[in-house]
Amino acid sequence: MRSQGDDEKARKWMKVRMGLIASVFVLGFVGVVGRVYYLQTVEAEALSKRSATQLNRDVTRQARRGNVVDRNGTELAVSVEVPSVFARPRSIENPEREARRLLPHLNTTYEALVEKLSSQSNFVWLERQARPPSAEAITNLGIPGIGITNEFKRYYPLRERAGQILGFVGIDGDGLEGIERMLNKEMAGATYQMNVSRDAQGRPMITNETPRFRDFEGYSVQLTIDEKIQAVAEAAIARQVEQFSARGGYAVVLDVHTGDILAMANTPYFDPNRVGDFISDDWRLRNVTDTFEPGSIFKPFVLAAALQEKTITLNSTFDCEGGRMRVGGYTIRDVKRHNTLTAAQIQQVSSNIGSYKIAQTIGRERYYEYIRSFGFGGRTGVGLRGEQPGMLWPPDRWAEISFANVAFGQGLTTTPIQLAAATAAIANGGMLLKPRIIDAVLDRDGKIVRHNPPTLVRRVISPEVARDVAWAMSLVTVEGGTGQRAAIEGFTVAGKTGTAQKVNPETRRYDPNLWMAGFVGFAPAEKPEIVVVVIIDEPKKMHYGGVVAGPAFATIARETLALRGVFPMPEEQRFQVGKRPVAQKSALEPAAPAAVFMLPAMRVLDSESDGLLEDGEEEQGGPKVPDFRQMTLRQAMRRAQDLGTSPSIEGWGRVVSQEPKAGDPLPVPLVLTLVLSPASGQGLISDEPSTGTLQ
Amino acid sequence: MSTDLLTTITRPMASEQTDDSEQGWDRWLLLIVLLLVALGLIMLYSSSAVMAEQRMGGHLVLLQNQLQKVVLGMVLLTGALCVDYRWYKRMIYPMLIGTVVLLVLVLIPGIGIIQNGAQRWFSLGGMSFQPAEVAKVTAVMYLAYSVSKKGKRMGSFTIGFVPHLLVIGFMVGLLMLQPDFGSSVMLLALMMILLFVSGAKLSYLFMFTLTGAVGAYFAISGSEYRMKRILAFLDPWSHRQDIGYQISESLIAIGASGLYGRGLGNGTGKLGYVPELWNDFIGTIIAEELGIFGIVFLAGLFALLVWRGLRIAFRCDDPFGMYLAFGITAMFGLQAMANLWVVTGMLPTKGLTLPLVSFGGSSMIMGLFAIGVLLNISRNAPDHWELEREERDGERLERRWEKKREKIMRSRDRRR
Repeated sequence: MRSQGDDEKARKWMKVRMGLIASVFVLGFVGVVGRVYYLQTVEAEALSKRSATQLNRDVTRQARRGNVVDRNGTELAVSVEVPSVFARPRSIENPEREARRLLPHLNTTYEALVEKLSSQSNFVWLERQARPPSAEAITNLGIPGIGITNEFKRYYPLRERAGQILGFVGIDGDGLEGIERMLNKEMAGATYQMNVSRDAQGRPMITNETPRFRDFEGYSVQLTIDEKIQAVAEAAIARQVEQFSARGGYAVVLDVHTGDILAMANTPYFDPNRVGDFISDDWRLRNVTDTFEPGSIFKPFVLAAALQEKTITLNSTFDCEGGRMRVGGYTIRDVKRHNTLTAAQIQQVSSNIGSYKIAQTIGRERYYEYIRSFGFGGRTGVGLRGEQPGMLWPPDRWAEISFANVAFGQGLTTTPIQLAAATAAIANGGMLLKPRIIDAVLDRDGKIVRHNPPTLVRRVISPEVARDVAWAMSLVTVEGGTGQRAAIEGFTVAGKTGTAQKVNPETRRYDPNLWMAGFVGFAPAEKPEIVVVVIIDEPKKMHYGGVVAGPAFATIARETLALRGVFPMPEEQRFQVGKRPVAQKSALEPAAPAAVFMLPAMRVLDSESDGLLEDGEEEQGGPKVPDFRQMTLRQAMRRAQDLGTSPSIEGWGRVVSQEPKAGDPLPVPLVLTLVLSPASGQGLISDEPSTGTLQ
Repeated sequence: MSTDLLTTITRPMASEQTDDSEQGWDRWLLLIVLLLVALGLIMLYSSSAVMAEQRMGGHLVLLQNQLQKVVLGMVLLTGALCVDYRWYKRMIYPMLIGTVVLLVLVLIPGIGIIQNGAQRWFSLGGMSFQPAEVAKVTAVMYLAYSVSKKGKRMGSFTIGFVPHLLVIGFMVGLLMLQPDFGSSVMLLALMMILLFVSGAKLSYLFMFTLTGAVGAYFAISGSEYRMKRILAFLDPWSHRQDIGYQISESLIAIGASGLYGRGLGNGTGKLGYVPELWNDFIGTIIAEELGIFGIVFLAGLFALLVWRGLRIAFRCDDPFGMYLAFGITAMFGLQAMANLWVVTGMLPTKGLTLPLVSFGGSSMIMGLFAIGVLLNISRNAPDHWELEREERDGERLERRWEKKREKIMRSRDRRR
């Protein structure tokens, strides 16, 4: 009985203990509920914040960049989405192992990869704009901490075609050169923000509000360039440059009616897909940034000025003094000795003395006004970055010999684009048009957002004078002319050869071994459609403009006329040698195209001539660009070094103009361009050595 | 005070005891277990679908895997329901030896598979198998057997304390070789609970707890990994980039969702933020997606499970059944509590699953098996084996005599 009672008691105690333990469990569960309640009420705000910072992110993305297309819509620059590989080094446990796994898919070395993977930063790029198959392979490896994101890569499908015009973009999609830079804002498109939820690997999972990506896409830019003509021009000058082992070459093709730049070629070439393989000199668009002395190419403008002033006619005769003439203590020469030449013949044989005498008939002041009026010494307004105005001294600074020099194209500098625009003014009946490279800015549906209409700068000469000059220029490419190699079958070509001496930058004297061979012309001479400028820089072996540049002109002009659908004219309407053209009213009035936008009439835009202005008023605040003018090269270099830059120098003598202008706020970094010129006439003499006809 | 509590608990039970002994097993317990398993499967899918889709090629992979285990577990549960629990008492030593063999096997390189730095499981017919889960159940069975056998002698040190410590200590030693700290602590805690319940002297238990605490201190300070876990537990935010990451993310997921939760399927912890969300940290997603109600539901189910288990233990006449029922109940209660405390940042992370809910084959199968045993105890069936012993012995004697008779008959025939 007693033991039974003990048993009962023991059992009761056991139950008490069991109940106690069970109560502990139940209390434990109650504790869990309490803890969760605490976390979800008291701590909720702080924890929500932590959650939000890791979960929701405002992702800023750059929209697709707009394309660049040529005048026919052919894509010159496009943006394609490509994968980029990144790593979050902190979530990588074994950098060596992962590096070995990644190495076959990446374009890098093992050591570099290990270093990146073991770095302390939160985020590193392993390879930007990788090949899609590599990216896929890396995704399949599934390494935590390694991710792929899509970025837009700029791609130039025609490779080096128009490379310098297009320029290029940086890895982050900012236009750094050329059109890409000029119209960066238009093409870049908007950045848009998305509020996304991200998973632990940082991949966006859910977009809380999905924007319509296309709404943010950048505008496309339509150029006036015709990719096919550009190809022809590039090939033609490349061939000439190679054949004559030249330093480089330029070609500009212009539509004379609208000023459209149909092609602008630049050798050596530049492929914006492979920026790293080139140096900065290669991507300069030298057609607008490089100046040179035009030489004989300039003579038609002298003729045009005199005809417009009616001081001469095409048949006026000039005594060319047997090819030697003394001017102010210097002798100017013709290559071939002539005694009497008509004004037209002076063009044909490219007589320096004759050209000087024509210029003398109108006087230096009027002559200066005309060449300014043709656009020399000022920017064309094409709007391309780094365009140089060229250098043209005002007439009151001309010594007599300088006047003679300027009359045949030495002692002043110009750019190919400037020359092309001026020549187009002769070709189209006297109207100087602003060269046009951007036709329109298009939105993503191809609708025009902004149109860049052809712009008339001013009328320079009358249609009759223009026609006379064209006729005289057409003599250049026929029997007895200096540019017979520029002739095209079926068309009359009006043109002018040029062989200019270059100043050797080391000796600062005209160097008998450095030449610039050029040909400038338009076709058909009777009813011009296109202007072609070809300049070959420092050809070796041969330097006559007609021989070196002429064939390239012929190729480009022939192909361009074909591509533009210009048919040969009937024989009776073509110019006849030795017979002045009869003025045909209809042909003489090439009215400006309806779309041409007329600028207010202005004769000379002197304000554009940089460096020759009076000093502007000094403004307070901020460092200013100092005035380099009138400094010697040595002084200028020293001053520039004080500013921590080394200027690019053109010419020799004293500084006559500078870019940026004196008194402008000091840009950082300072890219300084100084144009130098000799103070006296000394050294301004140059000879044109040959007519260019082959012996 | 405690006697009052005791009477309130025991009185109604005592009156019922006679009424529904033999009345059938505890269907309420089964319902609770099924609800827990169902909740587990739902939350498993919610937590693992994204990960499974990305890494395993199908959002259902983990769910299907777990469903197989649940089916297998239910088969075992049914089996255990039908097998008289007293058989475990009779077979306890072979089972113990089998468990030790499994624990040793998993340590042999080539058989045991190393994962996350611990050699805890091996592959068995295409399924991963964790001997530690088996060890928990056999340990409980052994303790129940031993404790019930010793009865009043439990107060003695040599009889009531040392043998249990040796057997459990041996298993814990094997577990620590894996190493499996969480399961080791579980086994020791279960031992302490059963010894306490069965009347071991509190001074011994206290002393043991003290030495255990010292040992644990050395085990922790000797291992940088465990030390870091403790540090991460004390201040998860400053270890957020490494060891405290999981617990930090768990707290963020729970707290940021608010009292009402983000709604089923809307959780964000599953986007890779909370590692092992479908496994040890399934409590996190329940709190995150279902809010405080989910947690009340979950904790409530476990509390009910404990209550039903306790009820079964109290209503069992047989001391072994009573201890076994309580041991199994304690196993569930203790592990569930520990897991939920870890998930809510009240204990350092140990790697314990939430029984019957978490993803994990061995845990689920052994859990359902243990529930089957518990259900069988709830039948409170008479010990047919013992009751029929005389009859059986008689039959055996009869058979023996029959054989002998036949032999004699045959030899007689031959002689003839």
